[in-house]
Amino acid sequence: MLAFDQATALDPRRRAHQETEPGMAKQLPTITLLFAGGATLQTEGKTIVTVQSAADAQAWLEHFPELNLIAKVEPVFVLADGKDIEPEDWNSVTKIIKDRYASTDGFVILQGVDSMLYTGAFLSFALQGLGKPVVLTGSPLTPEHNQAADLQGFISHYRTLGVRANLINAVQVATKNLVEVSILFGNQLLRANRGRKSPGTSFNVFEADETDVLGRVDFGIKLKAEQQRTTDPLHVVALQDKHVAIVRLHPGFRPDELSRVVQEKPDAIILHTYMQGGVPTKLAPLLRLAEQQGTAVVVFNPYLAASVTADTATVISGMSYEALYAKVLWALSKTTNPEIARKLLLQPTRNEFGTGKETGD
Amino acid sequence: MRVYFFQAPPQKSRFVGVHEDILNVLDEKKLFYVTSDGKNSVDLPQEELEALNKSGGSLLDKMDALVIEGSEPDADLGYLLAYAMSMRRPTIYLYDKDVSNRGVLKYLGDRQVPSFIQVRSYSGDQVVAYVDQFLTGLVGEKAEHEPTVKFTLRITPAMERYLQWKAKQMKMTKADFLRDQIDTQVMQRDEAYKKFLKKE
Repeated sequence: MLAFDQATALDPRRRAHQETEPGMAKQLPTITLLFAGGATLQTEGKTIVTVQSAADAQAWLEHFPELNLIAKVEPVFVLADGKDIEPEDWNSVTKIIKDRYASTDGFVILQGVDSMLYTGAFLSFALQGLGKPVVLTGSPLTPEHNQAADLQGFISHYRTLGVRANLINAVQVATKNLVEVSILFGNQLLRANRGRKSPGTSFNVFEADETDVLGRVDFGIKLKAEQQRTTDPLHVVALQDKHVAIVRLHPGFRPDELSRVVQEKPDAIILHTYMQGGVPTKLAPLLRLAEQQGTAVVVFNPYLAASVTADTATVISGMSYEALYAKVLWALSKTTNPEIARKLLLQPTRNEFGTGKETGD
Repeated sequence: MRVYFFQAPPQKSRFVGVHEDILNVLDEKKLFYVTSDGKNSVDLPQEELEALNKSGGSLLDKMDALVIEGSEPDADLGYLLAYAMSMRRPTIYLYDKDVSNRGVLKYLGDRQVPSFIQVRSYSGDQVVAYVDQFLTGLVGEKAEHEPTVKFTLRITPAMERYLQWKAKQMKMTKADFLRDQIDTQVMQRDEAYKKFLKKE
């Protein structure tokens, strides 16, 4: 069991208000809980309760009186269904985090499993100078399970495991010394921009390489390494309205399919390639045309050992697809200069390449 | 029965003697236990640990009860009690009577502390009696819920086919599936039976 003093985890500016008498429990940390989907709760194995509006959030939280033992949890509603999340909703999330940053010791975001990797990755890039934990978690069940013929089967399958266990664990993580965006699901705490969906029906819905597992749940939350909280100001990169087109290449891919996309003049095109060496040569003229019209072209190649800059495109490897998509949006929101955007994409920023390198902001 | 015993780290605890007394009770009762400072009398089979890890559960899920000595503030006290509440694990939360409050429990209203969490302030040797009483009650209760009664039931071939299929889906034995259904879907939902038990 970890044996550090919880008070040391708190913002030093607030600690002065948390002196306690000998033997008394210290004042609890304050955690902001954002509802952005993922709040499907089975109660007593009978019914399913979700949060559809701001008015539901407090009532939903009353199903969890035990959270009062860990933290003072303040609910904030963002949206009802995580699968409907749009990139502009990420701006709502980052704004709430920024507005409440000084008064909160950590953040927990409830989110549906469908979009959690995207949201986690985007937040990891958008929250610059983060000095507190931001933890995403959610329910393995969705509101659609209410209509499922075998609702009891689903509930039986997860037994004691569900949003209740995830939420308790996530709130506890948010009180600890961790200064990055993470995902807590099942018994694992993962670096958000390095997670991937895991196969099968385990409660560990996500997985990551061992170097990107930040901690585990056994008899408590065990972080592999504690990080130093900071009181530096938080800077948020607001997401601009950008059109990112995604094209998946395959043998026999016809250039006119790409041509149609280029003609739409998106801000960026992500080409998901199957080739070790980049993209078919027959596409080179189209890629040059795209660059000339100001469209950033990014080739996603999961098979290369390292990312490279080619003549016509930036070839990114070693990153998850969700993290790449989020990073492209972030880079385009940070700069309108294609050269700078290209450099940002190639540069490790938040351990997103899994190399342990990060250059900061 | 498996018990998790939480104690403040010995190097900073004023209550080392109390912790030793509690461990002696656990030893005398020949219970399997794990302590927060790493003592472990539980020999969890490797297969069970691997299955647990893959399923996404935590080791606390494998514990039948919690004994918490909470006289000193610790970041994990609230978490453990929250876990015990959410998973409905029988728990005894002990604190020295000279500690003038109930620790993190002050953040819960009296009515919110469930009956399966016992809160006891102790002085002197009382702690031994409290833990002993708690564990004796649990052992008796656990025996009440052990499947020891043999029961022969004839079922239809269609039922048998269903059970074969369902047990495979649920990764359980047919008997475990039936016991689980009787417990969670029949007994726990039978309000009339619950009233009957209260009258007994």
